[in-house]
Amino acid sequence: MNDINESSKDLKDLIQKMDDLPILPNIISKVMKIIDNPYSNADHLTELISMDQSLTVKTLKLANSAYYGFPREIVTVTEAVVVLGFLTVRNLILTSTLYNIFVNESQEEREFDRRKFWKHSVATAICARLLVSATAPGQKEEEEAFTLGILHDVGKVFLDTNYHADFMSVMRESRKNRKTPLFEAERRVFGIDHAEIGAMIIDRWNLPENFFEPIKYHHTPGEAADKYMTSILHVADVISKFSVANYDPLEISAQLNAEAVGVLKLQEKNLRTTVQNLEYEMSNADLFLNS
Amino acid sequence: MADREEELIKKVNTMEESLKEKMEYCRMLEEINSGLRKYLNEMTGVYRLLEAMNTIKSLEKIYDLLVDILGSTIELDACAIYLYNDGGNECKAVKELNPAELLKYKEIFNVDRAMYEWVFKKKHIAIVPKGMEGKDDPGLAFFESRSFAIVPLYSNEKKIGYVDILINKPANTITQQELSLLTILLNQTTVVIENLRMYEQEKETISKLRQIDEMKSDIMTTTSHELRTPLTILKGSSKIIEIKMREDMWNDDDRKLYMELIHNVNTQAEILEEITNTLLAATKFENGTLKLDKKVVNVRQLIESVIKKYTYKTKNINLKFTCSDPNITAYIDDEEIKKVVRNILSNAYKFSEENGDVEVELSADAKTFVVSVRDYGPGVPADEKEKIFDKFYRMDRALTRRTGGMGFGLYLSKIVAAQHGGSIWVESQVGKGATFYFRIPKEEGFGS
Repeated sequence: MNDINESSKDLKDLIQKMDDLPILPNIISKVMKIIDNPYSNADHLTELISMDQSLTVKTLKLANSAYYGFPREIVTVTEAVVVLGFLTVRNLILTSTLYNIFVNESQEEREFDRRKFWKHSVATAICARLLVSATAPGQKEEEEAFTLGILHDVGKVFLDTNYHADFMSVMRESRKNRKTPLFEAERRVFGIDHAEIGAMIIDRWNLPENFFEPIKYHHTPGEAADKYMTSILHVADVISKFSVANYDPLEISAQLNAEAVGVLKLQEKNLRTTVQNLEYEMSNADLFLNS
Repeated sequence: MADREEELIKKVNTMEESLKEKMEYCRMLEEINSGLRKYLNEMTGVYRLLEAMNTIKSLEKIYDLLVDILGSTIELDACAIYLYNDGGNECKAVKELNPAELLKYKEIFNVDRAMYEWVFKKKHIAIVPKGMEGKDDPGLAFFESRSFAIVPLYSNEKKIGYVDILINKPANTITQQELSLLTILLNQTTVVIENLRMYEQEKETISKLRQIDEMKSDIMTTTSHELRTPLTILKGSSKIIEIKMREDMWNDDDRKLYMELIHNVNTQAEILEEITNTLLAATKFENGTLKLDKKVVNVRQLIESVIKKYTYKTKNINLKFTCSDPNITAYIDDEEIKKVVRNILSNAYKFSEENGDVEVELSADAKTFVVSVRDYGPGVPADEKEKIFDKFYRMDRALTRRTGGMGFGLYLSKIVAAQHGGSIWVESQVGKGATFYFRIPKEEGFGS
């Protein structure tokens, strides 16, 4: 029995399993629709959010969190939308919804620590936003980068849920042999890696089309057509694993794709500053971490 | 019959249905049409601004245009554009529309410093929420029909300024399109403002550089002209000495000529030294490295020492020195003040005829002493009384050529006087001579 056949069999099975994916709550796609319509206003978004009591509470809690640091109390969802902007509110909703899917309380005992995983997703999101702000400031791009950061490893959740044992052995192998990146080990075993699976999920969830490429190529940004956002996500994914204390320029540059660094015109000092800023922002991101 | 009736009713119903459908289409078309009109209007605004970027070269016109475009794209009641100065520490309004209205709503919406700080941290447009205060007050319902927007202006990472806008519609009905349009318009304006500011700065720098360049060539011309005469005499005299020495052609009759040549060499070397010293002093004044070495000095003795040493080679002048009090003392830099006296005296000599009179006078009051030098030369025209103290200023060319001089002396004297906290001026009537005065504080008790 050769490997390729086995992989293909797995792949078929895997695509079938996609049907069992937790569906994204209806409200998310409705929110996306409103955000996509340039003539929508705060009232339209408020109407939708107010229908879900827990979402209303979460939105207000996040809007008033230290992370956004608004100097006054935000009392209504309308105010939250007006002050923070449509895209930020979309992120709040997406983040709190995904938290429920990603961090499954009953799985806390599992080897793949979902809380740690969530923390990495939030760090990548914040880091991606910082990188956009440092390279080409634009609120729309910043918010898009944040969302991509939260979503970028959604494929891992799928693998952990459906192929827990295989996924764990892949993780162990990649950890043991530091030269083999996780996505390469995944490809050997599953015939596909978590980035590609993630892109498929984005597609199934009807999330915006421009999310597809950055997620699919976040380990191989050279292959993407949307070089900018893919490079942002790639660099954020790599450097969010570092802190001020364990900052290691050599190790970072070994892990970073040179083309992505070139696209963003990043220098070592930019990376160092981003890691510093990330640490500060993470200290204010409690509410994201425990959504 | 019943069948026909039924058929008719059916027909009417169908027609009604179709009419309703058509009306619905009409309504949709109307909606699309109004959307397109709005869109066209907004795009026209952006287009006008982009067009202006290439043609308008005045900041004021750009501000006017921006307010005009804002007014035609969103419902705007009042607005103000604030810009930071170069240091980024001062911010002032460069364009205001209904400022009183804006101020009123700023208070109602409680737009405070913290709000602006937040906006600058976030670097994007913010609509200030109406706040909860006085929510039960029916009068506030009117205020809630308007909204207050703050747009920070950034160029790269540099804070340029901000724009306050009072929009005539409630915050919850402002569309995403309107917000992004505001952002686009103001981002573009920031680019234009930055470019124009840079353009103005460049223009200023160029004009400064041109001035410096002119000054430099002025110095070059004057200096080379001034150096040429003594150098020619020096060269000529030493050449004759050299020839005579080499050919061993000296005899006793040549002794007088020999002395004259040596005297020429000495005098011209002194003149060259003086020119060099003046240039050096000028440089020191210019770059502020000159420091006064003050001590208590008897001013009468100081003036006498200058007069005694001062010999003007080519003219015979009757010099008279009068002094109101022989014991005037002052806390001054005697070397620098001597230079001032020498400059003014040399000026008076230059402009005096052969056998003319020059009168020097020293007087004092409780706090200052005044030195005046009067000559009976051509005098200074009224419109040149200020200018003659400017650097490189010399009256007319013919006069200059006749009298020589670098045009530095009076300029240096003015600076020395100013450094002592004093002043220098001239009183004159054309054809009747001129009197130069300088007044210096005594500062007695300071150093004594």
